[in-house]
Amino acid sequence: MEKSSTSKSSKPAPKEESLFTIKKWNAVALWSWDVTCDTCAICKLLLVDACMKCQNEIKTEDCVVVWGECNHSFHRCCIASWLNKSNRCPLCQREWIVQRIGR
Amino acid sequence: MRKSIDYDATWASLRKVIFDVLTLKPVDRIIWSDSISDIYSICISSSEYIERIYNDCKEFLISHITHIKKELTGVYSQALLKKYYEYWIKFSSGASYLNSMFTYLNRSRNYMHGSDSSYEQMPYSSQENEELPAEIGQIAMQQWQEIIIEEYQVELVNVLLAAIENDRKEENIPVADLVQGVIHSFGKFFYQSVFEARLLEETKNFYARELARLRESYDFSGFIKAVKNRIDAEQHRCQKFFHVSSHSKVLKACISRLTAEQIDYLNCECARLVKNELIDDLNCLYKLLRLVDNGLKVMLQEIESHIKRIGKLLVINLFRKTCEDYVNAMLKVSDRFSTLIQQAFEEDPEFKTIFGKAIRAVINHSNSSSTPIRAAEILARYADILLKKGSKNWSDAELDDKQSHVINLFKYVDDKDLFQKFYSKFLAKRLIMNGSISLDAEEEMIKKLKIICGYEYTSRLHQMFTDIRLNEGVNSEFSSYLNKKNIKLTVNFSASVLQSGAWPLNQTSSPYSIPPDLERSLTTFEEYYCTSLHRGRKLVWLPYLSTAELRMTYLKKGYYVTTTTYQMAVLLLYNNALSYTGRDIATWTQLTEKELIRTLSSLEAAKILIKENSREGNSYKLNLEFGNKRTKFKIASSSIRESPQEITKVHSRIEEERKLFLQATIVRIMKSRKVLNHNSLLEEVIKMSVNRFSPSIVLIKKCIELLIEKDYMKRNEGRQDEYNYIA
Repeated sequence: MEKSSTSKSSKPAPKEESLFTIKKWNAVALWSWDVTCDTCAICKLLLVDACMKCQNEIKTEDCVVVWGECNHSFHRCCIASWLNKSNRCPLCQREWIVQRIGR
Repeated sequence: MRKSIDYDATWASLRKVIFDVLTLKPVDRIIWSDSISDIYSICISSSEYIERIYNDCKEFLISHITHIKKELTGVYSQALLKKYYEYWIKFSSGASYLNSMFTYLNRSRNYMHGSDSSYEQMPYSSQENEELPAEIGQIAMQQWQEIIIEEYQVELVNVLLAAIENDRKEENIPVADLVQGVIHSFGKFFYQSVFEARLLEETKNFYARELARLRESYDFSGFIKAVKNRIDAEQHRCQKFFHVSSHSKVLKACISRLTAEQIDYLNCECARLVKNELIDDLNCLYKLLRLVDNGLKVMLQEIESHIKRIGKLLVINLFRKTCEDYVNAMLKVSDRFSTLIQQAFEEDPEFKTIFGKAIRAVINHSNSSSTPIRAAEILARYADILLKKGSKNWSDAELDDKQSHVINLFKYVDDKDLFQKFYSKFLAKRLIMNGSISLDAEEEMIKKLKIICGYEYTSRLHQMFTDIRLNEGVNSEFSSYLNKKNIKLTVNFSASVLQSGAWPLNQTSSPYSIPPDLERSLTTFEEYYCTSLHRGRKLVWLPYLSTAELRMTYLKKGYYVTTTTYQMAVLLLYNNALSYTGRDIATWTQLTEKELIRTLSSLEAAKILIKENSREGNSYKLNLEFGNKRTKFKIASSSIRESPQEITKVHSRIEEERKLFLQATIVRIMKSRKVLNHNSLLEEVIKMSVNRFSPSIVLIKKCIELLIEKDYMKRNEGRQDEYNYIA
C-alpha cells in the first residue's frame, strides 16, 4: 500500500466545526502468507490453501506455513514428510532450519 | 396282537359306505368311525389284505366312474358342460372325503413301498426319490381323467372355448365357477398337453378378429383405450378361469396381437400425441407400449426431442431478458414436463432419465456457437437477487422454495465451475457490503450446493463465511489490545480480514491519501494483526471495498452517508474548503486518474458535490442545499460495478482453469492405470469432471497432447489408441 506523505500544512486552514466527521470506518484487507513464492514447491498448491493431504482430510485449519532460514516456505505437513528423507531444503539444498512458523 | 378278520364281510359293509361317501349321501358318524376302524383292522391284519382292499377300492371307483360316463351320454354342448360340472363337483368332493376315510390305508401303503418296508421306519425318511404309491384320492382323479375326459374331451374343450369366447364378447357370460371348475377337472397332464394349446390358438384368433373390429370402429384415442380395456379384461379373465401357469402365455398372445404387432401404427400416432401433449392418451398409450418388449423406444425419443424443441424455442425468446424472467421460464418448462412425465408416464424411471437429458440440453443450449451459454451466470445472478437484502420481502418458506428452484435448475447446468465463479463473486459482495438477508439463508444455499457438488466445490464459499465470523472476534480482541497498549484511535475503526485465496477480489487498488490520524488506525491494526495475533502474514488493504460512515453536519438536517474509502478521502478535503479544482483534488488525494474520475462522478451523481466548468478546468463545489429523504444513505460506488470485460475475463480464466483441471485429472488417472486406451481415458475424464463442467472431447484431446509434449505420458508404440504413463 502506498501512502503519500503530502505535507498537510499547505492545505487551507480547517474550519471550527468539521463538515464531515467520521462515525465508523470498516477497512477491508486480504491476508496472505508473507512469502516470496505463493505456491508450495512440494505439493504445488497455493500456500494460502491447505495442502493436498489436509484438503482431503478436511482439516484445513491446521495446515500452516513454515519458513526456513533460507527463506523458502512450505506447508508444514509437506516439509515434515520431506524431512523424513532429507534435512535439506528441497529448493536450495541448504540445511533446513526453521525460521518461523505461520499462525 | 393281530386279530383275524373276515375280509369279505368287512369289504361288503365298507362298499356301501364308499358309495354313500362318493355320492355325498349323509353318512352317520358312527358308521364313519366304524369304517375307519375297519380299514385299520384290515391294514394291520396282513399286507396281502392291504393290496386287496386297495384293488377292490380301485375297481369300485372304476365302475362308479363308468356309470357316470354313461349318465353323460347323449348330452351335448352347454348342457353337457353343466351336467359334467355337477357330476365333477360331487365326485371330486366325494373323492376327497374318501381319501380321508382311507388315510390309514394310504399311509400303510406308503410304508410298504418305502425302500425298507419295516414298520418302525420313520415316515418320510428315505422316500424322497421314489414315487409314492397313488393314494385313493389320486386314484379317483386318475380314473376320472382316463375314463371321462378321454370320452368327452373334444366336446368339452369345444364347449369351454365357446364359453370363453362368449365371455370375451360379453355375451351369455358363463358362470366363472363352472368354467374354472371344468378346467380344473382336466388335471395337469391334459391341461398342459391339450387344452392350453387350443386355448392359446383360440386367443390369438379371437384377438386378430377383435383388432380388426376395433381399428374399424374407433379413432386412435378410442382405439388405444379400447385395447387397454381389452388387455385389462383379459388379465382379469386369466385370474378368473385359467391356471396360473397359463396367465402370462394367454396375456402375451393377447398383447402381441393387439399391440406388439401394431407397433408401427402406435408409434406413428405417438408423435402426434406428444406434440399436442395429450396426457390421457399418452398415459394410455404408455401403458400399452410398456407391455411390449422394447416398446417404449420411439416414445422416449419423441418425448426427448419434444422437450428439447419447446425448451430451446423458449431460450431463444429469452435472449436479453432479465435473469428472473429466464429462471421463471426455465422453471415453467421444467414444471410443465415433469408434470407430463408424472401424469402420463407415472414417474417411469426411463422417462425421468430422458426428461433430465432433455432439460439439460435446453438449459445448456446456446443460441449460436459464438455466444456463451448463459445459464450458469444467470442462475448465480438470480441467487444473488434472492439473497440480497432489500430486494424482495419473501417469507422463509418462500425463500427456501426459491432456493430449491435454483438448485433444481443448477443440477442440469454443465458449467458448474462457472456458476461457482459468479456465485462466489456475488457472495463476496454481499458479505463485505453486509448485504445478505441473513447468514442462515446464505448457509442454507451453500448446504444445498454442497449436496450436489460435494465438499470441494463449496469449500471456498465456506471459508468466506468463516472469515466473516472470525472477524467479530478479531475486532473485539483488537480493542482490548488497544486498551492494554493504551492507544486511542481517532475513529471508530474496525477491520474485515479475508483470506486471499478464498475471496475472488481484485488486489490492485489505487493509492490514496487521508489525514495521518486515520492512517494510524490502519498501521496500528496491521501491527496488531501481523505480529500480535498472527505470524508470517501480510495484509493488503482494499480501499475500494472499505466503507466509512460520515456525518454531514453542514445541512439543515444531520445526514449519515456511507462511502468508500476513496469517497471519504475526497469528502474529508471539504472540511477545509468548500470548493476544489479537479487538479487540487488529485494532488491532495493521490488517487489515480481512473479512480478519481469514478469517485468524483459518483459524488456528483449523489448530488453531494456540484461540478462547475470553467476555463481553468473543472471544479467541484460542496452542495450546501443537499437534501435526501433518508437520514442514512449510501453512495453507489461505481468501482465495484462489473463491466462486460470482467465477465469475459471470468470466461477466459475458467478456460485456463479447466485445462489445468483436465491435465491434473488425466495424470491422476494415468498414474493409477499405467496403460489405458483412448476411449476409456475419455470416459473416465468425463466422469470425473461432471461435477464441475462437461469437457469437450476436443479440449480433452488438447490436454492429452500437452501432457505428451511434457513427457507425462506417451502413445503406445504398438497400438496407437493406447497411452502409457511415464513415471
